[in-house]
Amino acid sequence: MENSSSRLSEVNVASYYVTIDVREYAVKFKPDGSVLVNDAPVDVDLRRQDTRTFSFLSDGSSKKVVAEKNADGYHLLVDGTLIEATIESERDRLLRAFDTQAKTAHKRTEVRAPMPALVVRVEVEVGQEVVAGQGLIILEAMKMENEIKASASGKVKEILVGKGKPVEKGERLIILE
Amino acid sequence: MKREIKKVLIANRGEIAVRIIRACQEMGIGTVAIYSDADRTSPHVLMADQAYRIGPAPSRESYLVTEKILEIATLSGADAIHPGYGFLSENASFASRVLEAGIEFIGPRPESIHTMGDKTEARKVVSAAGVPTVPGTADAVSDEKLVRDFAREFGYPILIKAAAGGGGKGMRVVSSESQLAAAFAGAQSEALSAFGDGRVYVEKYLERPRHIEFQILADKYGNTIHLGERECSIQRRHQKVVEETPSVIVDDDLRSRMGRMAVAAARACKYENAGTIECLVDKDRNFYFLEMNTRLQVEHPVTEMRTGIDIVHQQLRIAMGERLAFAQGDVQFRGHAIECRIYAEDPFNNFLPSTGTITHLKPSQGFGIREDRGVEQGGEISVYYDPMISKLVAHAQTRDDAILKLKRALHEYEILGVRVNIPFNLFVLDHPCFRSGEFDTHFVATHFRPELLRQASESDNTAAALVTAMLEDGRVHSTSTSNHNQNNSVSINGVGSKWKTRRLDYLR
Repeated sequence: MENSSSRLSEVNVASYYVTIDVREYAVKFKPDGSVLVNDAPVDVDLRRQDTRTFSFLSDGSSKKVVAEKNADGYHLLVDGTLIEATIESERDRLLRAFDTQAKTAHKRTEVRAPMPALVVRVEVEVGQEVVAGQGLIILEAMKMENEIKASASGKVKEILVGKGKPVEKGERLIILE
Repeated sequence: MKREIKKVLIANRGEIAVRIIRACQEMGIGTVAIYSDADRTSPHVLMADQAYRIGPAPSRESYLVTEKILEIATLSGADAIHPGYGFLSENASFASRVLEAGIEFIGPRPESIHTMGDKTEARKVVSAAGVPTVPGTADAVSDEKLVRDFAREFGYPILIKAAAGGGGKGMRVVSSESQLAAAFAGAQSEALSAFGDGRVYVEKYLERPRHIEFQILADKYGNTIHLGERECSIQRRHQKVVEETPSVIVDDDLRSRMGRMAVAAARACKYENAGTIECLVDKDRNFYFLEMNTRLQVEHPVTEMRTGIDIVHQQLRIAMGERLAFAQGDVQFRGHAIECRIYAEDPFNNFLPSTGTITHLKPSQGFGIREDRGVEQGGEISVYYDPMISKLVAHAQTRDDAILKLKRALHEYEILGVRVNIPFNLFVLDHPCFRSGEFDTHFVATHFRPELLRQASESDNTAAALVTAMLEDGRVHSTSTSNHNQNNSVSINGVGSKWKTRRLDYLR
């Protein structure tokens, strides 16, 4: 017991978020060997019996746990009941949050021509804020005028075409950010 | 008429092949397995004395190919073939071909299979022997007056159903004369649009019907007995899930009357070997012959547990021309037996079949538990065959004890890699209507909803979360067990938590 505690004290706090159904369990391993579940301290003694089988003891309560990692997370049998869990470390979560933020910050929307056409009129200017659904540019094709609208809100970063220019299908017209 | 059987070819796979191989081994009879490409390392192949490839995985190209089976039987020197259940077991021409090849068929004569395989013919034959069948019109009816006459004779409710039928289309339950005209016209037009055939039949509609069947044993000398009933009303889409014996509604008097009926039905088609007479029993305990299964039944173990008679041994002895060693009066019934089938299907998700490799399997054990299974850990549940993994049977002195034992065994059963219907089996065993015995074939349709399946307790979830985090963090090392056990574990002390033990919760 002391040995495990001292061994654990060599590592830093490790935090994990385990999701089971819609519930989340924040599990923290502290350097002093204590463990917290959703910030409440718990007593736990886990021993491996064979590859997938474990004995789980907590405050005298004994459970047989069979656990297996697979592509989507963990499948566990706790006293025979199947439980599916997904897990994310604190680090993974921070990285994911940062990544999401970064993606949001640099999210570019390229407005492209849906068909070969002629630019009739550009309705926005560089630097202008637009909202989703706002008209950006009028194209003429088959003698019909079509208004191309913003699919998302943002700021006009670049306008790549001008009035009277023929455009190909899929050609970039405006870049929103 | 005695004939020695030294080697049996088992024309089947899975748990029933294993079951038959065991019986042969006990009797000192050699065994020949056949396997498809999907079954090269299946338990029945490992257990048998000889094994031969029969073809690719799809059963139409392997387990259903008569020619190949006969070829292998000749090649291996088998003097008998046991067909198991499913596949070719109720195929009269297969049985004929086996006999023509000079090989004993462990089952009834082809003529009996043929008679009982034709529903109309079967009804005719057993009716002539005085066996009650569900009253119905023998031919399609096109005149509304005939329907009305039928209802007046046998009473409402009646069932109008499409001759080309299936899936409830063109089917109407009529509970009074005022509904008759509309229902008759409706059923006819629905049948016409669904099947291109507007012909309909009429039969008596049984209210709250139960499915109760009788196990028959018959030797080649006309000795025919029954081994009591099996209650199989718990079905999902006509698939039996939980079977038990005795039935709570069958008392000694009903058992002896139904037993006599079952024996008469079997005799009517000159039946020999093991077979099953399936009946419907209505709410007033009137019983009607439904059909005969001319083979070994999936749920035969409950009868074996209650009578102590090994039905597969009996099949082999009968095939060898032995006389039944006991009479009807010698059959002793002891206690109560319940079986539930463990299928690879997800009860939380509309019973979607679940395929894949069984990565972990530790079956239940202990007094009063029997398991028949044809797949091991590492085995594959494929799309080619029935998704049944195992049959778990509990035998105890009373029905209540058998239920508790089976529940215990279901909780103890460990399987990972495929999803199984164990939560559904527990739902059935826990249901007040199952407990009280007040159920019928509509039980599942009436009572089951996925949200009623038992969910993991909070303490189980917390334990699962902790174990997941510890494994992910590498806090449990998989070093060899010869090392000091601290390498194998982590023990962390915190302030006492409030977890409660739930170990015996399910025994309430």
